[in-house]
Amino acid sequence: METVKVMLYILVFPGFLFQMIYSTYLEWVDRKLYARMQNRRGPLYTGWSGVLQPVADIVKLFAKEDVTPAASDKFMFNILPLVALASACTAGLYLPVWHLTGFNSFQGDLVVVVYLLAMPSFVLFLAGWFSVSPFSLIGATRVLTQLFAYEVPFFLALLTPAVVAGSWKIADIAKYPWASGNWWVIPLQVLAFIVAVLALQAKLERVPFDIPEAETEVVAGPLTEYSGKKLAVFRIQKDISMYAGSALIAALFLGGFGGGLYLGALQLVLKTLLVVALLSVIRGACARIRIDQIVSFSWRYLAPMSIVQFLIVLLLKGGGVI
Amino acid sequence: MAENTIKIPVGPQHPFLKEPCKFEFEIKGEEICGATIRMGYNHRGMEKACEDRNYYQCLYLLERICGICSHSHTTAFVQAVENLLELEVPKRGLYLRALVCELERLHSHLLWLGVAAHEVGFDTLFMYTWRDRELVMNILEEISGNRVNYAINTVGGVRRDITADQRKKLLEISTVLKERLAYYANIGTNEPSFIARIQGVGKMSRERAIEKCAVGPFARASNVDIDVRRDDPYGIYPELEFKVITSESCDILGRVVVRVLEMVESCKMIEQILQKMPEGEIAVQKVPRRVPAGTAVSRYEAPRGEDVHFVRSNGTDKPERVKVRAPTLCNLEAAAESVVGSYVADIPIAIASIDPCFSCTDRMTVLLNDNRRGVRVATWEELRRHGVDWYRQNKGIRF
Amino acid sequence: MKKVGLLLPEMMQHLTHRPVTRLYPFEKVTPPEGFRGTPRFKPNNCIGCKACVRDCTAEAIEIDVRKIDPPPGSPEGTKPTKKMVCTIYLDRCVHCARCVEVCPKDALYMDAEFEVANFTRDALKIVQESD
Repeated sequence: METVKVMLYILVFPGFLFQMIYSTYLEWVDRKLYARMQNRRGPLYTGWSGVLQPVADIVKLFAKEDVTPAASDKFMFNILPLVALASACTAGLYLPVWHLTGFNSFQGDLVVVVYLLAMPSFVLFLAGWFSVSPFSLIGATRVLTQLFAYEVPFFLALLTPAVVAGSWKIADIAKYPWASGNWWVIPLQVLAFIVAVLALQAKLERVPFDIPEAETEVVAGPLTEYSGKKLAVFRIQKDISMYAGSALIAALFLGGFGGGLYLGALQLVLKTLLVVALLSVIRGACARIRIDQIVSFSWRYLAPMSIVQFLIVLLLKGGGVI
Repeated sequence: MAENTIKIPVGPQHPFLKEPCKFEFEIKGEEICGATIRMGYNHRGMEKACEDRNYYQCLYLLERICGICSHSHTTAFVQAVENLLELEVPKRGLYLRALVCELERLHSHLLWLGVAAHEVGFDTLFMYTWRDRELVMNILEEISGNRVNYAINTVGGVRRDITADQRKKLLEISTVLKERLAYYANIGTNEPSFIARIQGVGKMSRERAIEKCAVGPFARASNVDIDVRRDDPYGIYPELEFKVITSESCDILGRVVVRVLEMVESCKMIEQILQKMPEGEIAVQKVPRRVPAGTAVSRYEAPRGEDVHFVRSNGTDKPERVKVRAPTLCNLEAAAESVVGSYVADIPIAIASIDPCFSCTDRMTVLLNDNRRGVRVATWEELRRHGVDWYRQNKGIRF
Repeated sequence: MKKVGLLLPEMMQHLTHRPVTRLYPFEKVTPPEGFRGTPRFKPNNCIGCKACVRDCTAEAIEIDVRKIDPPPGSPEGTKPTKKMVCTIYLDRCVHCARCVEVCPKDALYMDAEFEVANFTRDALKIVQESD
């Protein structure tokens, strides 16, 4: 009985099926907002106001021909999309989307989630490496260089609410403002919130940080040689990473999804939509910057901002205020 | 050069190229060491096709060399033919030709601004500039009957006149566009992520630009002061007042600024044209179909630079030889050279900054090296020296 | 961090405006007057001079002048009549309107139809006969 329950958690809610469906909804919101800001309509005809458009795109990709380059390592080329999808889904599994505890929370699951969210970037590098083509090699090296740029500020920014709550468990950190009544810690961590959102944009490889997959420069970067089902799996992984990243930021910085089943679900939707709206606005307002400019931007602005925020929180904690 | 360099082919099919052309770059890591160009994928045999068609058929065929600068090619050709026929085109016809010419410059530069923004990932600016371009396309559709390939020229003048309603709309559009262009000039020079990509990139010094015979806004952004509308005026350009915009920055930011300011100048020129246009005929009524034997060369300032047409006639109603030299041919090598020494990520925007139009460029070149019959082939240096001397003696222009 | 987000005001404004996209093909577009759509014949005005055939940029017009002998039993001296069969190949036409301009008898006109795409090439061959 316990096994069946665990399988339901992993496969249906808050696991695979729920993440797949909800992340297509988030992608639709992103595309619609981006289009409206550019004075055009966005997806329109598939389903009500285009809501099924991301699903239609994935179905179309599944129907296309799947070509494997002759010079590539067949086993690695075929397995890598599934590894990326698996790590993104597992990261989403540990987020507190129900009962405020998530499916299996323990001390240190913040570190596990951050690690699992970083796996897709490594897999992307390997995908570019194993599809032996000049464009994918360039894209793959750019993915790694970008990893050096944003990963440290991202982790530092996520460390701040952990220090505030005094725990490594995401469920505890999300519960902290409710439990202790210190609601003013939420606006206190605004610097870390900004750094986390920008670093998430870099992790998801969206404009202005999408140089590894820049369409006009390296065709599609590491994903150049992928087509058909494998490309569809990579796209699903990208959407699920966006869901997992935004739900993580919402749980840590915006006070989690508490208050029972219905209020919790409403909070989940509203808070992830807020983070995704911010990501869309950033995407619309900037041009794509070069890889050396990304590295210098991260180390010159993001890292110091996160360190300053961390110091503020440490001082307040040491002074006994929190 | 061959230590750990890899050669990446860019093209003939590549997402950043709107038309096929093959570039091969040697890169070491992210830095470019060398570049070679191979063109010719868009050759359609237009020049040969002209030899079989009468002048009117040629006119509408040459319009389709390029979709964006179509009016440039027809006007250059028709000026050469009118020269051979010794026709005097009525003033109103010349004013209407210049009106469509400046409208075409507007729509071409707006298209370029959008495409350049798209190359650096700035899709929002791309959507905004193309939305404003629709204003120009709609008025061109009303004036000429089609959004591109206007077919408004005929030998001896133009085919259609503008109505009072269209005059009013043109003045409104000119006002709206000047405001939007001021906004784009502000964004183009101040938005941090945009100028991070274009400032200091694709540098081409003034001396090198002159050596490589660059033309058009590409050369004007490297502080080379050339513009066919002022140096060798055709049509009614002697009667219009306009500034030739140059910039000293010699990089892609300079090219953006030059094109945006040129668009503002075009708006002002449209207002002047509408003000100064006289009443009268728009075309010569009876145009002979057979053109007397002779040769004519006609130069025209297309949105991309100097467009040269050469026509040789032999007394029949079909031309004997038509040769087209498009501006992109001059700028292409300079563009490829401007990228050497910078990053791979700069390739699309540097090549796109010359506004490449490979459809215009791919014509046939015949090289003859036939010393036996006593025909001497002039070398490049001799040709250049001859050209420079001729312009200094006859036109007072010093290069 | 100078002047970040110069486009943000306009972007936020557009969230409340109507989009400028036109929902073609569900919202039909009427081209302005004088639009160069497809050329059509008025075959009764045609005299068979073939000026349009000579000047067509894309060699898309064919005019077939057929002599029709007078039917048996008509009075002596009746001249045979001519029937014009005017063909336009729409898949070759470049819509330059040179044929309309050069016709001396006003037998051609441009209408505003531009949606002439079809599944077979034969559907794009328009034959009009005079009576």
